[in-house]
Parts: sequence; C-alpha cells; structure tokens
Amino acid sequence: MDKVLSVFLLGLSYGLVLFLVATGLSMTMGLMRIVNMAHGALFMAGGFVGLTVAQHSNFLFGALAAIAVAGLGGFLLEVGFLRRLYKQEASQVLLTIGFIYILVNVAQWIWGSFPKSGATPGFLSSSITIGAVDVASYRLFIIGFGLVMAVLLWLFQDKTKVGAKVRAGMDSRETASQLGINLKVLFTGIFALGSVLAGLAGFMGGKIIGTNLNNAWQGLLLSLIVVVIGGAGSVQGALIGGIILGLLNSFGAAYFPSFSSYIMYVALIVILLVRPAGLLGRKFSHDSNEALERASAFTSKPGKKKVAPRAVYLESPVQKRLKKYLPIVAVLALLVVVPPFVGTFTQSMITKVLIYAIFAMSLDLIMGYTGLLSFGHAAFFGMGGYTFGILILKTGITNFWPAFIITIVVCALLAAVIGFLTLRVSGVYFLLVTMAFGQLLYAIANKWMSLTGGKDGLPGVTKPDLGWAIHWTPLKFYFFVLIAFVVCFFILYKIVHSSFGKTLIGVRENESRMRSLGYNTWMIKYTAIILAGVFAGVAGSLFAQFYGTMVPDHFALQMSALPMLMVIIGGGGTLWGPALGAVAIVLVEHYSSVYVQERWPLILGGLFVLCVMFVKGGFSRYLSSVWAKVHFGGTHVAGPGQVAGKEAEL
Amino acid sequence: MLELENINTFYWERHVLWDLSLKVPQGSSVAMLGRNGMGKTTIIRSIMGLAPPIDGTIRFNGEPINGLEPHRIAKKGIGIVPQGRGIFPSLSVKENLEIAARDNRREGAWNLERVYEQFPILRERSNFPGNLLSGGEQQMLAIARALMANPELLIMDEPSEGLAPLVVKQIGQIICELKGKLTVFLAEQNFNMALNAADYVYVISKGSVVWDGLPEDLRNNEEVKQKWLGV
Repeated sequence: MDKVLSVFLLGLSYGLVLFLVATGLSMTMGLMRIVNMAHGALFMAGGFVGLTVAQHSNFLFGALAAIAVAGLGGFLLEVGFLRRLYKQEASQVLLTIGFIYILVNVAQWIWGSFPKSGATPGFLSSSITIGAVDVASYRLFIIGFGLVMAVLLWLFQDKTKVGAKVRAGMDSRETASQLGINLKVLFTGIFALGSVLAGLAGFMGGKIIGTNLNNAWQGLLLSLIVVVIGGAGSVQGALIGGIILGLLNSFGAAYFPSFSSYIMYVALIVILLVRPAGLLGRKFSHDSNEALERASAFTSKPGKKKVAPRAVYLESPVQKRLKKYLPIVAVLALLVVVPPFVGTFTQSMITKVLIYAIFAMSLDLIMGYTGLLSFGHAAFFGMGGYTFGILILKTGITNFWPAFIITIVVCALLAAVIGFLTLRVSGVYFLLVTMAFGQLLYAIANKWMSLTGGKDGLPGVTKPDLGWAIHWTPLKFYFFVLIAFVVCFFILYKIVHSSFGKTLIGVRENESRMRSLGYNTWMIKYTAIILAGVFAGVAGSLFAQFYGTMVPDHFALQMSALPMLMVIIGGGGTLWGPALGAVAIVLVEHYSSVYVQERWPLILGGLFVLCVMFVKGGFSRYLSSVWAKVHFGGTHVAGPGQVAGKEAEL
Repeated sequence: MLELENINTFYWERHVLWDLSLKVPQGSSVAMLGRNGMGKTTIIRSIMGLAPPIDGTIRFNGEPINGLEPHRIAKKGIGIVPQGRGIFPSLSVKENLEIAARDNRREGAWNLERVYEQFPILRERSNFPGNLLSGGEQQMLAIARALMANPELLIMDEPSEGLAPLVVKQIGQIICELKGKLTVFLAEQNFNMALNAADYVYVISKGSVVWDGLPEDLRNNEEVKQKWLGV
C-alpha cells in the first residue's frame, strides 16, 4: 500500500509537469491549428536559463528568467515566422524543426552536453511523511502548483470573455474576425502563454525530468502523446492526458521495469485504435472555403491580379520526348562516365548521394505527392538497414537476393502496421504520430541488445554475394547502387505517372472531393505509405552495406528530418527534386563536417528555416523554368486558362 | 454610407467581381438579388476584407476601407450576419453575443438586456451551446450578435437561407423593424422577402450589376425577373 501511494505521488507530480508542458502545445495546435515542433525546445531553454539564473540568485528569479526566455522565444517565433505561415502546416512543421536544431545546438554551445539536475527552492528541500511514506516536499509543491495552474487556465478558457473569443477564433477565424475580434493579437498572446508554461515547466520540472539537451525532443514527444491521449484544444484534455501518462510511467517503472520505456507508446497505440480524437477531444468545424485555401496555400498568394497564362508549347512529339528525357539521359551519362576517373572518396560520396536520393524520393511519394507529412520515415530506412544487417550477420545468409527480398517484405509489413495506426489521425497529428513510431523503433533498437546490439549497433555488415563472383570494390559497389537507383527511379516514375499516381495528387489537393468521387482515399494513402516504406527500406539496406554498420541513430529524428529537408530543398511532387536535394544536403553535410562539425545541426536548422521562408516549392521549380526558357526561348502561345471561371462564386 | 466603386475581386486566379459599383445610402435598406454563385457573397467578403478587391475603392462613411484587416473594418461600424449564420458551436448563446459586444455604453445602445428583449427566445436559451439551436433561432442569434456591436450598417448574407417559410416571414419582419433604426444591406435569393425589406434593389449576375432600381419597378419587370432571377 505504501509503495502504491509513493509511486502514485511520483507519477502525479511527473504527470503535472507533463500537463504544464503539453497544455501550450494543446492550445496552439487545438485552438490555433499552428504546429510548433519547437515547443519542446522552449521547454528545454526554460530549464537551462532558469537553472543558470537560479544558481546565481534564487529560485524565484530562476522561474522568472525561464518565463521570460520562453515567452520571448515563443513571441518572436509567432510574430516573426509562424504568423506568415498560417494554414501551411508543412511549412510550420519544417520551420519549427529547424528551430529545434538551432536552439539545441546553441544550448549545447553554452551549457555543454551533460545533463544537469534541476533547482529546488531552499524551503522545499526537505521531505514530508504521509502515513508511512516519505515524499519530497518539492514533489508536493509541483502537484499543488500544477493543479492550481490547471484550475486557473480552465477558468481562463471557459469563463472569461477572452477565452470565449479564443474559442470563437478556433471555431471560425473568418466569422470571428468579421465580428471585430483581433485574432492576431489574441493568438500571439495565447502562443506566448503556451510558451511561458513550457518554459516554466522546464525550470520547475527540472528536478523531476532533468535539464538536458534531449528535453527538446523528449518534451515534444511527451507533450504530443499527452495531447493525443487527452485530446487537443482544451485544458482538461491536457490535464487528463498528462496525469494518465505520468501515472502509467511511474507504475510502469515500479512494476514492469523492463517494459517501462514502451508503456507510453502502448498508451498511444491504444488511444489511436479506440479513440483517435483523444479522451476529451474537441470537434472542429471547418471554414467553408478551407479546402480551397489549403490547396492554394503552397502555390499562390491571394489577390494576385495578373496570372501568367499557362503556356502551351507548340512542339512535335519528338521534341516533347527530347525535352522529357534529355536531362535524364545527360545526368545518367555523367553518372556512368565520370566516377571511374575520380578517387574512391568521391565515388563513395556519390554512392551516398544515390542512396539518400532513393530515401528522399520514397518520402516524396507520401509527402510531395500524397500530401501526408511524415516525420518517422527513418523507421523504414532503419528497419531496412537493420533487417538486412541482422540477416547477414546472424542468420548465415550470404547471398544478396534472399536477404534483400526478406528486407523488402519486412519493411512492407512494418509500413502496413504503422500506416494502419497512423492513418487513424490526419493532418499534423499524422506527422506527430509517425514521429512517435519512429521513436518507438529507436527505443527498441537501443534496448533489444541481443538482436540489435544496443547502442553499439551492428558493426561489420559485409557486402553480400550477388550470385555471381564479384569482388567488391568501391567502384563496383557504386555501379551496383547506381543500378538500384535507376531501377527505383524508374519504378517510382511509373507509379507517379500511372492513374494511381494521379489519385495520389488528387488526395493531396482535395481529399474530400476524391472521396465524393468514389475513391477509397484511405486505401490510396495506405498503399502509398507501404510503397514508400518499401523504397525507404531498399535505401536502408543499401546504406547498411555501404556504411558497414547500423546504429540506433539511423532510426532517430534527425534521420527522418534529412529526407524531409531534401524534399523541400529540391521540391516536393517531382522525383528528381528530392534527388537534387540529396545532392545538396550531402555536400553541405560533408563540408560542414570538415570545417565545423560541432555546428552541423546549427547549419541544418538554418537550412530548414531559410528553405521554408525563401525557397517555397524547391529548386526544381526554378530549374524547370530555366530549362523551359533555354529550350524554347520563351516562345509560347497563350493557353485557355486565363478567361475561365468568371461565373464561379466560391 | 457604403460605396463600392469599380471593384475587381479575384479568388486566386479566378476573376469573380468585374468592375462592380454600388451604393448603400445612409438610413436606407438595400438588397442584392441574384442566383446562386453570382457573386453576392463575394461582394460581402470584399467589403469585410476577407476577399479584398484588387482594384477599385470601397468607402464607408467616405473613408476608404479596402485593404484593412477584417476586424478593423468591422470596428468602423459594420455588423454582419454571415452566410450560414456563423454561430460558434463551442460557445454558449450568451458567449456568442458577448464576444461581439462593442460601443454599448451610450444610451439606447444594444446590449445583452435589450437584445434579449427583442429576441426573448435567446434569453431562454442563453446557456445552450450555439449549435443546439434551431435554424430560426440561430438566425435570430446571428442578427442579435451583429446588433451587439452597435453597428451603423448591418450586412446580412441570405438570412432566409434554409429556413421554413413561416420563419422566413418572421425574420423578414425583424428586418423591417430594424431598417428604420440602422442602414441595412442585404443579399438574398428570396425574391419577396428582399423586395418587402428593401428601398432599392441591385440585381447581380456573373459578378456585375445587371439591373438596379426600385423594388416596385422590379416587381413589374418580367424580363429582368426571367432573365436574371428565374422568378
């Protein structure tokens, strides 16, 4: 009984810290429909800054500093960036992921990589005896503080006029603004409030969660699971979700220690299966023209007067073919002719580019074509690499083909399971849930020592026999990867240009319309996820052979972020865009690892931010327009697009 | 009071309003008639700043308002009953009214008490979530909510939409009562209701004004009725 009580109090205090972190995410996501992946980074920043100030003065000043830094950070993020990206979830996500890298790297710069223990005020350093249980008074303080905050926030949300205005804005931005409500100011305030709570939780929870760099990701992941369990958009949801997760965690650690790191994922999966909107999820109404705005958000700005007529080129079929295939043939020729004459180092660089290109193209199938934002694509990449490595190292398979085929099947099965679970939710929740599954595999790779080798990974993956005698050299392996790349490109090309490929684009542009046209959009998305999983697995298995080892980091979020960045740099919705993105990223990564290895995440984060703010649509768009100009000298006749649509009122 | 001068509005690439001009004089009640999809709602969205026109001018009390943000335009003194009523489902009836309240200090201004007197049913329902009201009640709530802002100009987008004939009549009466007190600008498809409520009528088709004149002239003009309104 005593044990139960003490575990309960541990869990409750942890749960209330989680509530404080998650409530901001719940508000911004549920009320404003803005995704702030950097929420956890503000949590982390609050922890470090508060702790530093507290060490030099006292607990209260530490708390104020945490509030100030997180609040200011949130304010600048919203006003400077997110406000301009309204209704562009993809851009919001990528931008804020960039800020995570930047903030974490800066924090590492300042405070170093070692975790720190949080501060407690002097008068709370003792412990209190309840019955036969000793409880740190600090934990009771946290429980009390969390509950008081919950009540205050609930009163603010449900009983004040400002709260009502916020809820009105959540129901319909348009109607609320027409009634004279200044939503910009209101939402900036809410965003800053959520950030302040996260920063405060980072500082006050320091003693319970610890203050370390990993909090940026861990805080995001935990608040996400809290929000999915409790349901977004309400204080009550975040409170229930936080307490449930906190209790599950402490009881899991006390009674099933070996299983404890998976418990939160089990909770997540159960909720997704039973009640995807969360226990207290709000129902959302949609602005009537939301679909329209969303569809156009990437391509054009409202109120553009002059629209260039869509060019219809006068050309013969032969010219058409030429235009289509000339760049491909040229690039392929270069890839065949050049490598034998460069050093092994450059050869392995190009090999890496090709493997990453397959990986990025596979993500593009769901991200660029289908419009599903996935932040867990490394799950399939890592699964491909690990499966292949384990087959080679532990089962005695020496031939390439059986290992390869088993890898593909395993990745397809994994994608079938993950796809089934993640498609229970849509939009940004899909992104966050895929991220959680990526993290689950990361945890498994770390913990299942006997199979995966834990942190050491799987060293010594050899390049297996292809069935005929090949003595592997870097050049031969390069050509092997090149062939794999060409085959993958060709298959993906056929897929995206098939009628199935068109339905993918249809789902991206307007899913409800596709559904009303009689398409089973769930099945379309599901198939796309499985296909993408298979190709990512292919990339992973090639990578295992190339790299010679697989480590848990190949499941990590950074590994999921890389192909995302390749897709946005190169441009989603084309196949060669992501491939181009792979070239850019590998080059930047290489040079920054030569000169400023420590600051590579900073550069990566900066790239995310720059790409989102300045190169919308990716470089592939610029390149194609340049190609069109070079090839056709700008001669074209006007198309029919410019006169249509006078009669339509939307 | 409200003047639209040669406005052109686009939805992305689509030209919706073509050099459209109209006027709503102070104290009058003006109706727009037109079939579905002819641009009536877009005109209102242009006025409110939700679909700002590319060129042309919109003046309110002589002051250009195009290019302002919607909430600023509203605060100049415009109350709106949006299409589909726009009741906030997450808010109670009372909250729906309160969040729109503005300028209700001066004497004779609309406030919660006066709105409840005008629409007694809303007092009974004051703690209901907004979306549990019937269509007619929701329409009354939308009108009451617009009045809470104490506007000089009341814009209504198809207040009769989706309501039973009896309720339409009731809403029509409410509009007639209001029109002496403030300026009313109404978009309608319900021919009779619009003509009863309005002093002046514009007929809109394909984003342009195709006819304008007095209600009684329109009532007798079979050609316009058939060609543009299908009555």
